[in-house]
Amino acid sequence: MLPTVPAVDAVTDSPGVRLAYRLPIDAASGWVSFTMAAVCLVWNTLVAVFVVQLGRGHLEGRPNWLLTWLMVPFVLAGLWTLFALCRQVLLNLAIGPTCVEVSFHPLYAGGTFRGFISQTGRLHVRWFQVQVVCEEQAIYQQGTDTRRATHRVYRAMAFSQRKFDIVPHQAFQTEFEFTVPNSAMHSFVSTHNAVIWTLVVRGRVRRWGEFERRFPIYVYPLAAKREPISETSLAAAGSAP
Amino acid sequence: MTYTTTIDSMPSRHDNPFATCWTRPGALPFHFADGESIEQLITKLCGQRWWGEITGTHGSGKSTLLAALIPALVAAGWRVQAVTLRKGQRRLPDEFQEQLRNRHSGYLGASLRLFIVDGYEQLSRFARWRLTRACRRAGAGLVVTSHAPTGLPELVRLAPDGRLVQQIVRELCAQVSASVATADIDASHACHGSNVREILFDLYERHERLRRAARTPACAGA
Amino acid sequence: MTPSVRLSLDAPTAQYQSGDRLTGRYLIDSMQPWTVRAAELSVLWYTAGAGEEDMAVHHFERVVDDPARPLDLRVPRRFATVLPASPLSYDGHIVKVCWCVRLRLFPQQGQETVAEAAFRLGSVSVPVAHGQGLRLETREPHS
Repeated sequence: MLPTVPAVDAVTDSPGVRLAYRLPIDAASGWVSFTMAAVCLVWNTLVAVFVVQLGRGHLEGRPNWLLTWLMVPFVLAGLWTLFALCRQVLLNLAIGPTCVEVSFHPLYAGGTFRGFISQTGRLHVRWFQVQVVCEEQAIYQQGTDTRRATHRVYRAMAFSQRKFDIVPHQAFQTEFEFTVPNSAMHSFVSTHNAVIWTLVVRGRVRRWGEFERRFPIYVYPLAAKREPISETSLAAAGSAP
Repeated sequence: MTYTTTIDSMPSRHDNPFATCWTRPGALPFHFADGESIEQLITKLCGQRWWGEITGTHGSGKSTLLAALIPALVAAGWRVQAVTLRKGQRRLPDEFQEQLRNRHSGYLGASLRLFIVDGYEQLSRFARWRLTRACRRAGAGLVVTSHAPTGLPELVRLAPDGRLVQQIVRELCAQVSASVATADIDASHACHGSNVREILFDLYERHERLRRAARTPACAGA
Repeated sequence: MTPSVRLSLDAPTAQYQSGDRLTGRYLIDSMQPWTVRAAELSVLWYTAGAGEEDMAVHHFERVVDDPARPLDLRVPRRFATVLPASPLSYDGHIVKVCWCVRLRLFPQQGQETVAEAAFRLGSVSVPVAHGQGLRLETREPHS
């Protein structure tokens, strides 16, 4: 039992295709699109109700010009939310899913591990990186305010490549190595504080700008280390090809 | 970024005088303006039939003042029921509403009950109306905090100035030594105004950076 | 007058690793008997920094004064526990994880007395940049 160290079930229950484990993407990434869709829907529904009423008035020869002009900024804002949502959807479609796998999990300080990334889409990539990042997070509640602070304590480049194209039906795939530093702090989660390790996939693509996808990883204390599982034994167990 | 092991000292809450354990309401005493005191505040509250509103911007010390006020009210014989509302919390918690409805609970009787709501402006208009009506009916006292006046009689309006911030920092640094200078405090106050909470977080950052810089090994690597 | 409390760990450097046995002793430094109702000793960790403090107790023991067996803390009392694998001590920027032994004495009269002895579990270090500042994330106040 490891108090305050998060369980790795979410990762170890998900076998990879090329390497042992497939990393789930950080849930926060999906919330952006959902939130934009919700805001767009609510705002435009409300605006549409008023626009319909105003339209009826104009058609019946009872135009309310004051309200009509007042509605202009609201309509423009609604169109902007629609534009932003469409752009986000197209961005998600263009960039495509990112798949990250690791050779071993949980990770340990001082260890070197293999990773694999697969990126699909139709992209002209300016730069593409995989980084190992460690962040501290702290929540403080005082009065009505909740204050969330994040501080990055470590960032290292695991993979970097510039100026290449990703074409449909032919995902960009590569393996890389990454190291968890000696004497690094293990993953830690308590009610209001956390130390979180992540593999961050970042890139800049022509037309769509920058994107970032985060894949949580778990670093365990060395005292909990078990013998590394070889890929041969995994293959024999049917966990990996 | 180079990851270099250092000879770390034992981590402790005493590493930084601006850590939340030293600055939270209750840990940090409320600093009254010249000539004011908790007793004066209670006298004023009594004159307003135990209804009052504490107003001030974010981080101006409303919750800290409540932390000082509540024990004084309890010592004066009041039965205090307090709740802190978070952002977006538009109604009072069920147990608090239960206490409001219970006009005759306890051997002390309804007249010695005082309700405290930290974050009063979070409530909907209807919830505020229900609260004030319930307190009026019960003959209970009501003290609230809010960022702007909401119609209750004003008890105190908080607006910490630079002198107060300096005083708070001096007291914190008396317990745990800090590396921040007066210029740092002034700069932070100029940036954050009367939001003492943000000022203290800012000073936390500065102290932490200075502390780590002092421990950086002399030999620099790439 | 409250006598002084001596709480000490056996390891001179107060540095331990996971699975190590943490041992120490405590006593009251006094010529006169000082009766206490109870003494509670905890081995615990807590967080400090920019967030709310979290804490958890790893080991707890309590001794009470009994007419049949009076509690005389002038006689040193020992304590021992095996330390866990986590969380390790960590001197972070906005999150610190601190371990300590905490002794609470509840006298027959007066307020309780608290003494603490900090120790370090594990050998975690934090990165220190050479010649360049640590890159800090912008704080995200949620108000």
